[in-house]
Amino acid sequence: MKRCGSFVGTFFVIASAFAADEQPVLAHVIDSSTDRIPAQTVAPEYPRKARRDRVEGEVQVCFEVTREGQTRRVAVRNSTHRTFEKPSLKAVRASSFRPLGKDETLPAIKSCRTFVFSLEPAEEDASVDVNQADNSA
Amino acid sequence: MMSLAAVGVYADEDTNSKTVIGPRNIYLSDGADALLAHNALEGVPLTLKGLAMAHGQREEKIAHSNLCAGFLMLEQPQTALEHCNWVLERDPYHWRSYNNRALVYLAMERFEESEADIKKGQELNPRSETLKEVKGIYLDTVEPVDEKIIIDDRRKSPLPPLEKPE
Repeated sequence: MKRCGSFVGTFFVIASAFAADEQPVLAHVIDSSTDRIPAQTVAPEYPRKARRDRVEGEVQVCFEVTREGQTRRVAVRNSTHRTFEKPSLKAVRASSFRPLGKDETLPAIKSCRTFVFSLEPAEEDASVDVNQADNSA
Repeated sequence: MMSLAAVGVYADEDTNSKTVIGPRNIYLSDGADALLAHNALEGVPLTLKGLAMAHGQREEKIAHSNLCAGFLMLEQPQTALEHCNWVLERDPYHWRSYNNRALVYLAMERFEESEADIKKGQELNPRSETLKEVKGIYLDTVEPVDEKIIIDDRRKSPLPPLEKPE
């Protein structure tokens, strides 16, 4: 069986799991055209100094995905600020994709993931509403 | 409670200041050590003793600057403000006192004055990490933000896909 269909239309919101003493980070995951289905998507930590200095930025990380779903050869392709690179690389290295089945072939093994770090005015209640996000997809 | 890490204590940041003041005024030195260890309950009385036996304006300035930090740690901003003002009236270039007074004003919810002191401090010492911390505390108080990270896989790889195996 050949699988080259895309993982279309998925738009969900996760609250990334960090240590209890850290600020929770809202992470929106948009995945509409990767060739591999994410198994575990790890959100990077917002660098403390960047948050303190109100710095926002973007990093594009490219990597290969093995048949087993692990990422390898992870490297920054573009970034607006070096401070965001390390947590982005770490997040990709900790992420994984669903392994391919025996009969599945790889349409491409190189993928890229863009992390957009932004700061928004704090809301009174920043709880995550997964259902609302699912409905918008 | 105010972030203690952002409170500046006049002890070892200036070159050899601690070794100079130590032998002359042991109370000031020990008080600074206690304040640096965030022990204001010990540091403030020691520094007050040091102030009582201060020799010259330099030691007085050190004592008042540290008392500003110490009383701020003790959550007595009005008393802290008096000590910061004492220093700044005599030395308007004392960036550390602007740093501490900004925190004092923040504790008193006098936000405009806090912002003005941060600006003055950063003009005097633009690279100070302590002042950057205080500015971060100020911004978190007056303009709190939530971190948001978007993970976007839609952008295609810059490389062409590999050829499919036969």
